[in-house]
Amino acid sequence: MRLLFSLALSVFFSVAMFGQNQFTISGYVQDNASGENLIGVSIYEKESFKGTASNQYGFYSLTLDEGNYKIIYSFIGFKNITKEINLNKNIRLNISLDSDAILTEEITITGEKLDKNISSSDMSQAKIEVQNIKQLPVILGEVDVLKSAQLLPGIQSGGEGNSGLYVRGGGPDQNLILLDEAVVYNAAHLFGFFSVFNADAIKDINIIKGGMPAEYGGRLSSVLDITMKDGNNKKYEVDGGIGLLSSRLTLQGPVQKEKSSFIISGRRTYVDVLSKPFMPEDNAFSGSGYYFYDLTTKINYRISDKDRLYLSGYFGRDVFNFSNSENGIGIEIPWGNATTSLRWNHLFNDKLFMNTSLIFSDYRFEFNIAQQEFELKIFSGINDWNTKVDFLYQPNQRHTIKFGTNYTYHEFTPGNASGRSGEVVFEPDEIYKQYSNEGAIYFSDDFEVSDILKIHAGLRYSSFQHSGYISFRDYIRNDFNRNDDNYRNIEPRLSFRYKINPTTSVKGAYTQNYQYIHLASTSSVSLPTDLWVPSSAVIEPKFSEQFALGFFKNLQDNMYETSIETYYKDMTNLIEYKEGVLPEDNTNSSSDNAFVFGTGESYGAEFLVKKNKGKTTGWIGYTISKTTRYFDEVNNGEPFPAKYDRRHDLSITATHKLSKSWTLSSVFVYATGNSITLPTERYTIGGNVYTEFTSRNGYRMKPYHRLDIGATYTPKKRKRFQSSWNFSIYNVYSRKNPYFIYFALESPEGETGNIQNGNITPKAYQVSIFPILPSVTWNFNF
Amino acid sequence: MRNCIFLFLAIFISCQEEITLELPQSQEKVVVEGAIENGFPPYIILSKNQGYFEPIDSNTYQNLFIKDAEVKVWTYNDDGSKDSIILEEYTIPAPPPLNQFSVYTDLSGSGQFIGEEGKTYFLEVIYNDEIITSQTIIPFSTPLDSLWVEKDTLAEEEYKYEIRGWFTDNGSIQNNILVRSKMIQHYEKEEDKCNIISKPDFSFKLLDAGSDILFNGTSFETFFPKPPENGGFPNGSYNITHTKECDDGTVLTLQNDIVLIKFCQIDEPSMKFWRGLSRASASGGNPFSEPLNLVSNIDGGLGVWTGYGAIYYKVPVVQDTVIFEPFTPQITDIFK
Repeated sequence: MRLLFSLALSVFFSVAMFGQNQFTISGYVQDNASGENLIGVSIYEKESFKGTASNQYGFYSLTLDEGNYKIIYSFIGFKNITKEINLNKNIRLNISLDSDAILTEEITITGEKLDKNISSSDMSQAKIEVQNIKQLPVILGEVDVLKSAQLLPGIQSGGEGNSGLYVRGGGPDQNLILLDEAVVYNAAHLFGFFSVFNADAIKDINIIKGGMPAEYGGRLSSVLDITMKDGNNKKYEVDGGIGLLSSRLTLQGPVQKEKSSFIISGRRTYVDVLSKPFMPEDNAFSGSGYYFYDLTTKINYRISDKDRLYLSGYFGRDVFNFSNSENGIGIEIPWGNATTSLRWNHLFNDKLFMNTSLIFSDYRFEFNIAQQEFELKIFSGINDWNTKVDFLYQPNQRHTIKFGTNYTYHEFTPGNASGRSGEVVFEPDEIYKQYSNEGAIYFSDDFEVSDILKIHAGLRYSSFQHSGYISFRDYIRNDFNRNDDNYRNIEPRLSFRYKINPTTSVKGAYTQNYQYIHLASTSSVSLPTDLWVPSSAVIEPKFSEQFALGFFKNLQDNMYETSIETYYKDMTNLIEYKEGVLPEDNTNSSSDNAFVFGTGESYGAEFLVKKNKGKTTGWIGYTISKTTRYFDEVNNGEPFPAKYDRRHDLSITATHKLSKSWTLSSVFVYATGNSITLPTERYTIGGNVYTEFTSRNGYRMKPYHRLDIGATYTPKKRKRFQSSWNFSIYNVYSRKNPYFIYFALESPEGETGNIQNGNITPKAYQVSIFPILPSVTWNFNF
Repeated sequence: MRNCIFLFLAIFISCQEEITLELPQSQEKVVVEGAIENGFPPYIILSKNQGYFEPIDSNTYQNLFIKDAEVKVWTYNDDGSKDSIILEEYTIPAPPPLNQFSVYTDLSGSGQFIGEEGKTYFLEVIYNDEIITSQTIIPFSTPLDSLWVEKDTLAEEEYKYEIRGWFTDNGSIQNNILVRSKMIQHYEKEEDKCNIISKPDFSFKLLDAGSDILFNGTSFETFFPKPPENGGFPNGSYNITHTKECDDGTVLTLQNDIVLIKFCQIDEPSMKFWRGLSRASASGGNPFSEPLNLVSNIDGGLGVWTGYGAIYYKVPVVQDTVIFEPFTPQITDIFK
């Protein structure tokens, strides 16, 4: 308590002290060619290196003592701009940076200031540059931001081809995935093989895997904050790509030059369309098919120098159809996300920036099956109405203060069913929905105590109120005084940076997080059937506490960046389905009683060596970690490894600029095999054989490793037309990586065994998918 | 859903190879497959589990049945008095390769201990000094309004017919329904020969089990598809009397199927077991599912002890047949 008091006092005095004879330079930084706001541009004073960075909206504010300064605007991939400024009053200065032709010939890994990893108090954070991941080899030509994130230490994939993220021992529901601030509940297309994000429409991706700042909350493990492009506000532009699996098209341009712009980007797979001519209409499976599509759109308007409006939206659907005319079965499974964000940026003054957002987010899943005149429909989903206000206050160069509030109204449809038998319709009396209110206020200060010590201190106060089946309207009208399931919690977030010298620093972080909504899954991979359920009287909020300590060292004028981060995370109130519960048991009004609760812990060390400059760039990331779960009612109460427990995880990526036209790239990954549960016993009931599983995740599959190579050919630009070819070979040495293991009861002759015939020889088979897979994608821009 | 994934994976699967796994030693457990239903004495089949990779042939299968256990069932009357029975082991003939199996029941016909609707029945098995216990309720049975035979319009064969029914659910209670069926008469033409062979089902097959949550209190048409021979999703149909021609032109006449439908009310623990079993049969080997053990109501063992509020219907698969009246089977008809 005394420490907190001292800290509060020092913040107050330092704000007060620096408040005298100081002036502020502020404004927006944008790309001169497109007018896109640039995120993370370093703005610093040349002599003292005191500075700041542009925020998510390209806004910056730098307060200095009165005097003459040379202010440098620096962003990798762009030419530096130096402005000589006589600072004797507050100055508004919007800056446009030009793309740097020389630098862009060398592929850069990050857009951050090169020593940001040393000087900032952030730890366990990474930025992904979309331009760079487009150079890496990809499976079936589909650039995927989530799969690229999996190459960073501490972030693991769910298995072969899976785009799910598993961060420091956390499950996929513990990641807060934001697209222009809207929560995306299911970030996977095609059963997890591809992410829902179209790289053509994305400007910036920021990943936080620990030391979560106070402005983020509601999840235990990580934040994936994705910002869409604003759209070119100077000229019309068309981008596109034709790949083996899907094609993309993006249109962008000014609505009102330099004042308003739009972008609209779409993507669709076409396996279903291409296969149609080869499927005769009299085939029993005619009409079966699968496709996904997504549409991303955004429009912005600069009302004045102080006010800007952004309206962005995402709509994506996967649709699976299966039809078998022989037995009259027809199945249709559509699912997907939709998000809308309306945001208003307002500058109160040069030091105080505000963003207000109204956000709608929706995820829904349907399963429709019909056999003759019998029909069954199961549907589930989650809707969020969210409003938030965030303030950024930069009183001087030593403090970056953020505060704000956030409220979300959740509407859960935890699994409803309806059906029909001939003329008789089965409808539950009402569609069961559950309603919850989630709110938070936060305050944080990124405080440069001295040139050596920087502290980031934050506090988040969160609350969750579950009103069950009472809607907000009814709640206000009739039930305002109900004694509901309320949770209120304080989440401290603290991190520090201790700079040993200009190229070396030590950082530490301690965070507490609460998570009030939970993903219930009966599957080892993320499936669209997985249900989001709220905390209630039965289901308590998840809680985690994470400690992290890191050592950061840059070498050869920031050409090489190295780091070692260690972490320990414990988690409570994790949920699993009860033994024997089937997903359909979780329908209508019975959803709370299907779960068991337990704890988990994860610890590990992450090593990173990254080369930022030169013709060859890339990184080596290695993680050693252990993740364990404890549930009284699972595995006989014995601890068991989490299904994403991965002892070793190694990624090596390299990109080499061979010439002006050719860029080569490669990715190598190695990971300890997934832990899985295998049957150990077998018995017969009614003449059929059933299995008994005794040790949860007690078996490890073979290690996973793979090498991919790629080449990008960019011919000379012809007038306005620019194109490029991306050639990729996935799994070059065709490693048979285990995807799953299955069991077959065979007869000694190798045919299907039958207990009635008295001859069964159980056998285990390992199945591998994705052998060596070459692909080519053609991209264009004009 | 998972079948959809399989379809997708089928496009990409590069290879599969047999692997050898070292699994931990299994622990011997008693498997109970026991039931008591209204109007019949209890019947219990006891067997042992095996290590997953232990092969099975007719000898080992036979040795899995437990023959020297002590099996006791009891219930309490309204006045607090206790009725109990110690069951005897009977050997029942079975088709090869099993040839025979053991069942603990009462075939004396004394009517000394008969299941009654609404009562709770307790089970105790003593085997190798281990005591295994369970309890179940026989819920009140609910009849179908009617059953009839109707042409399967999707089948290519003209002789394929379905059994359909009309059911009115009791809306005042949340109940659990289990349906089984067994062909007590079925003929097939022997493969590559000009003979008719009789192939009735040896035992009842599970059609489905679940709660009435979706149709509570409604009256609706339903149907009873034929379950596949070796488990799985039931979607077959039955045969009316029809003919088949041999290669030499001889025409064989195959008599219609006769099907026993067992329509039961069961308690919730039993429903969870049978529902899980039905799912495990339909989606066996699914690589994506979390491991699913059948939820047993047996304390100290595996399997299930079920009270059936059962009503039987005997349905000859003959065009225009309509059945209103239940059928009373023999004890030996019901426990296999």
